Amino acid sequence: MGNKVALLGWSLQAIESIQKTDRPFVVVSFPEFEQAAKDNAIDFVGWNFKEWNEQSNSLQLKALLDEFDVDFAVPLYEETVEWAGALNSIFRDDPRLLNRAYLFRNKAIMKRKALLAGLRVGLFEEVYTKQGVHDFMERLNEANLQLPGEEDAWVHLKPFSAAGTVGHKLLRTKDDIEEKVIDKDFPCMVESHLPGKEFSCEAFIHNGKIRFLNITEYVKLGYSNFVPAGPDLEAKRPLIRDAMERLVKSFGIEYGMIHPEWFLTEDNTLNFGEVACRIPGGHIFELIEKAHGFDPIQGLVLCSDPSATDEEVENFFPKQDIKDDQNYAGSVMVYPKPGRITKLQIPDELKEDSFFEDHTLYTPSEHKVSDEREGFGNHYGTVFFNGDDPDRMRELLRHYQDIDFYA
Amino acid sequence: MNKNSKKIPQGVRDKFRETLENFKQASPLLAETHKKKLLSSLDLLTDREDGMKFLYDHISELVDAGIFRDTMWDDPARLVPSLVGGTLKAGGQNTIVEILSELRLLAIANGSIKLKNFSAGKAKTFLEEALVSNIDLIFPDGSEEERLIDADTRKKISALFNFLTEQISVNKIKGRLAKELELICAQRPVVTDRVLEIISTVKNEIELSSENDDDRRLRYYVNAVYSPSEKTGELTVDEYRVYLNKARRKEIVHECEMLADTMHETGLATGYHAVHLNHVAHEGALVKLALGLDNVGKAELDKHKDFVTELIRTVIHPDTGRSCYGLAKLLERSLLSHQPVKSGLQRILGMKLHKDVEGNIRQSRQNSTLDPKHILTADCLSILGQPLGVGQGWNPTCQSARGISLWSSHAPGKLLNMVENAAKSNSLSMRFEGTVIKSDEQVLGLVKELDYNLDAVSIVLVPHLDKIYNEMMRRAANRYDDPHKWVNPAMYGHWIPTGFISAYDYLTNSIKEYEKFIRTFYITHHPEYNGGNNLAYPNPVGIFLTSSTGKLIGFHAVSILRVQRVKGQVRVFILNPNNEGRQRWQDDMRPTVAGNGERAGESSLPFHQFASRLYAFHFNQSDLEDLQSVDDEEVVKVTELAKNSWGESYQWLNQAGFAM
Repeated sequence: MGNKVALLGWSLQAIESIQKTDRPFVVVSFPEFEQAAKDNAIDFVGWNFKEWNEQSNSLQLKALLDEFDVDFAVPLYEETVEWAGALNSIFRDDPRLLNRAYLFRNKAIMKRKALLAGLRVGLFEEVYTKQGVHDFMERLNEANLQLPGEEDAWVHLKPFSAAGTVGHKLLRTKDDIEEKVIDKDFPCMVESHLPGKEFSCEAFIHNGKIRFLNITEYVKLGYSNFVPAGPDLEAKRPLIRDAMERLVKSFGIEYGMIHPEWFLTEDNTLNFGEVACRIPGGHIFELIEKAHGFDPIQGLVLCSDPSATDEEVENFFPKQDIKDDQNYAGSVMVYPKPGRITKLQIPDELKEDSFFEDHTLYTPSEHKVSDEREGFGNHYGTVFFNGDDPDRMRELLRHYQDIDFYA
Repeated sequence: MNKNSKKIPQGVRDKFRETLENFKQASPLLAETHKKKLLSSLDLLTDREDGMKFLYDHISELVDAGIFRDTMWDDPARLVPSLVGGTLKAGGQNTIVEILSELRLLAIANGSIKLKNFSAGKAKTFLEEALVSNIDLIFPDGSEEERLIDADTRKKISALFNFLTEQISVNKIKGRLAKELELICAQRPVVTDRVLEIISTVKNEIELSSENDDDRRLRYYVNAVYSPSEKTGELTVDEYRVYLNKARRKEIVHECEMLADTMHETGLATGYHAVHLNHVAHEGALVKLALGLDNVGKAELDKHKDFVTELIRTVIHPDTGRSCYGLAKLLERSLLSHQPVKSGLQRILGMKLHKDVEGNIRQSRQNSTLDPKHILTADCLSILGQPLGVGQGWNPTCQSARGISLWSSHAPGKLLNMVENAAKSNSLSMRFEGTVIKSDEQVLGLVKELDYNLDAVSIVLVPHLDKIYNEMMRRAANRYDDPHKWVNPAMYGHWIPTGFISAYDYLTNSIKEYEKFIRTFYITHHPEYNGGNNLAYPNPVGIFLTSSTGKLIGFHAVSILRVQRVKGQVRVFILNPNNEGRQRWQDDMRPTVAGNGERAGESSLPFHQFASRLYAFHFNQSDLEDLQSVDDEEVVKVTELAKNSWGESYQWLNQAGFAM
């Protein structure tokens, strides 16, 4: 078996990373990228991931990839996860791989699977109508022994398959259900609110074993995080690693990387949130590269390659989870407040801070920021930090996530 | 922050080195991504003066790495000094690249970068011109516009100019600055904000001695604005008002003479002029003196004394001081005796403005509390008095400015009527080929966000004219000839001649039958061939605008006002609505605004030079004589000039349509 990879999705970052290795590769993406690929001498297969039917399925795609002698596929975007599953099923002659890919694409099945593995999850249900959401909230209220006048239980509504926080709605009251939920949301999943501190893990898995486990500390979900986690959370690494291993085992993951989100409660239990099998958002890969010193895209591809040897994999990742002189890399994503924005204002003390690294904020031409957001919406740029003190890092992120960079 | 308080942190230098190396090594696919990262690493460096020095020391490495490649900064020969300020203020990475561009020019000027097509001398001149046209950025004054720039960008601009002025002393540009003032004033612009701003900066920031000639020239303008008479030099505008109330007649007469003199010499009228004119408004004899009227103007005043007094009392105010000059010139044009003008002004004085129009006028004069209607009337006086002083500001609306100027000259009644309609309804209608185009039914114009550095008449009209013009162009597109052929007569009026010829072929983006085009221009416009006739009306023509090195910048609209022999040379006199009648169109091709018989607001250049920039014009078909009678040598000369400048950007086709 060779080591040629098909990258599913057009990502300049991924192309650059893979070009730095000597691994042969093909990019599979929408036909509009074909010219750019040709101009830059990149092997390319044009494919519409949105079409899955008799004429457009993994068998056809596999046939196209065979012309390039491809050995395995790596998904780069949420939408390509099941395509990668289907292709790898054929490459490795293991039909269950495709089913595993579906696991990642349906949050309700995912939770059920986690529940079966003995992981703690919140109460959840698939719902098809607004009434279903009301009923679910009502049952939660009953379970909480709600008295008249007391607040309703919080309910999270999530589409089955969207990436990250897209389409996520938090419903705090029955009025919220009436105001925020629309017909287009259904069918979807509702779940009880999980208490605890949220964080994510990025586990690089090869041959069923976790070869490197990063813990990302969330300062504020969707806004700011840093890598690796500070000492308090790192102290829980054995507990986290144990839960991760159970997750990997029960999901049957052999090769690649997973990015689950967890909640750690004050009494030291872990609640499973959800898990994705693609490059995480929130600049986490950039932060991993800065903090741990390896290229995580290369790591992802290497771990996805069944022909890679244990030695290759071991040599690739750092020996220690946390270095003795560990540096912490953090980022704050900036969203302007709704309304009209005309200028960028960067506080002097930010740029003078020794932890400040750089920013990608751009100067707006005057326009209105819509107050309707999907997920966390498009952010307007990111401020990056780098430094040796996790407590100061957390403090900085907390401070700057509330600063208004646009006026 | 003290600029020397800290050294550039090692981390910042490392980051610069790392991102620069990544950019150098990036494949073409990723070059853009790495350029962004490199530019964002320059953010911290461009915040500080020692960072400027650091970048200056590395500029040739950055240039070699390709930081300007595939951008509009690529070729220094195409850059324009007056655009430097606007780009610097844009913020973000545009600001950073513009800063690098100036550092490259400095390196060229100092000889550390050598280019074939751009000499050290040119780079030095460019930087001096950039300093002069951005004098406000050298000495930030906290003006309204200044405040709109974000703090970060302001910091960068000031670091750049501090660095540049260490290399090129402000004293060295005094001569240029004086010349700048003289030439702007020679054009008698309606909007004088910029020239007043420069004068204010000179007064507050630059030490002037009385020995040096350049200093004396600058002093003259400072005095014209801040002490047009001895008394005004000692008093504020408010104190001056009090003084006038107590002054004896002899003193008042003296003030009249002094203020009128500086006003006519410079075209600048100030708050002092406004206060003074109000003080004497009731007495015709003193108004004549205060406005420095010629005999025609005096006769006109006698005829319309009551109305003039009313105009002064209602609309002349320190905030509208500049209109004192416009009023004087309007009277000298005898326009009040033209009934549509007088009644047009009366109607505007008495009308109710549309609230959006009111808002727009207020926005253009944020410091004034005057009734927008009065501001509008005052600016009507200026536009009518100084038809060639209309400018387009920073807007891409040369067509509209040209129209306002043309109507002010030849159809002032129609102009006031349009102002009234647009101000009342915030809409304007024009006929085009049998149908009516209403501006408020059109979505698109050339201007996205109007720059408000305009006179109030333009504020009221330009948004509508722009949309109507755009719609006419759309309707006339794809007709196998330049759409201006149909649009100009509809837009500007029936006096546009029916003949039309264009050298530019819209369909193939090429130049066709250029020889015929040039011969036609000579036959119809050159006095040696057209029987020495002058133009009856301005001719709206299209030109290729070129940079100081002759490179094509774009299409531009100007009007030919007249063609005349001056000092043995036939020259074309034009109105250039881009506020700047004297840009350099190639090495030795510089339109002049004074010294060659120009009237205020005109610019001129030799006939063959102008011909070499032309691409479309109207003509009287009855003027067409034998094209072959035009001197062959002259045609060759013009063609050479054209081909060696903007012509390099196009393919040239001969009569049969083959490439030449």
